[in-house]
Amino acid sequence: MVEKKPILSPIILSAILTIVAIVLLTVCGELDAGFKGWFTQTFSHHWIGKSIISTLVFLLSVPVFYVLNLKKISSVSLVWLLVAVTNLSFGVLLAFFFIESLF
Amino acid sequence: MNEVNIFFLVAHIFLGTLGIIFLTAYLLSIFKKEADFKWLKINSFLALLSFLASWITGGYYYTSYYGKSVKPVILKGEFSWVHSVLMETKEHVFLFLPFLTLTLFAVTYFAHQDLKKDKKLSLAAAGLCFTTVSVALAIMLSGIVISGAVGK
Repeated sequence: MVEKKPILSPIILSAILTIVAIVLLTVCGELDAGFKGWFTQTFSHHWIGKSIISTLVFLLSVPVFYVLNLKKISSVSLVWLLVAVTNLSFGVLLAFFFIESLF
Repeated sequence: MNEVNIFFLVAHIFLGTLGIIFLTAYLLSIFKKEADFKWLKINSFLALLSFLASWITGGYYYTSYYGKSVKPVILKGEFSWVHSVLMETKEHVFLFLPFLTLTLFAVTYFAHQDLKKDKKLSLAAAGLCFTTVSVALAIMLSGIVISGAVGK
């Protein structure tokens, strides 16, 4: 199993990057109507656009992180970083839409 | 609502609930003294499949029916914030789930030998699973509130 593990860090890092990308695409889309409009025009619906782009970010970043060969970062630290980024991203989106609904 | 949309609405709820059940089973199994890693792999894989299928079915319902028929009704009602805050958050946070469950499956599949020996790694996997279940439950509860806000 040891020879299979180098793929683990790239997968975890890509998941982190993908979640950050989803938050950025969402917030930028809400703040810039033209950006959201581009999503709608290109992908028929902004949510479909975000789904496709987030999948592409994940699929493209896995080989990039694999080539970068980040062996020094432990899988345990990366998993906890993913947990932290997920909770923070949830909070950011909830707070953003709450504030946006007030104005 | 036509039968196709009813099917996709029910299917995405059912599949999302299945994903929560598989992840809960994973969470309960990983803390056992003699954890069965074959079942952990199966549970995480089935959770991944459930959320992928829920993504597709929920996406179909959301893009073909919700925006045109449900959203305007909620926005006209007393609880318009339910769409503006809960639905907007729900529809975007949902996109995290396939990537979180894929990562959980990858950790379980590629590092299962280490999961058996390394308590820190098994605790991190449990933390990831707990976070994913919590996010999925929050999405499910938001869905219940959104359904309740229609026509109020």
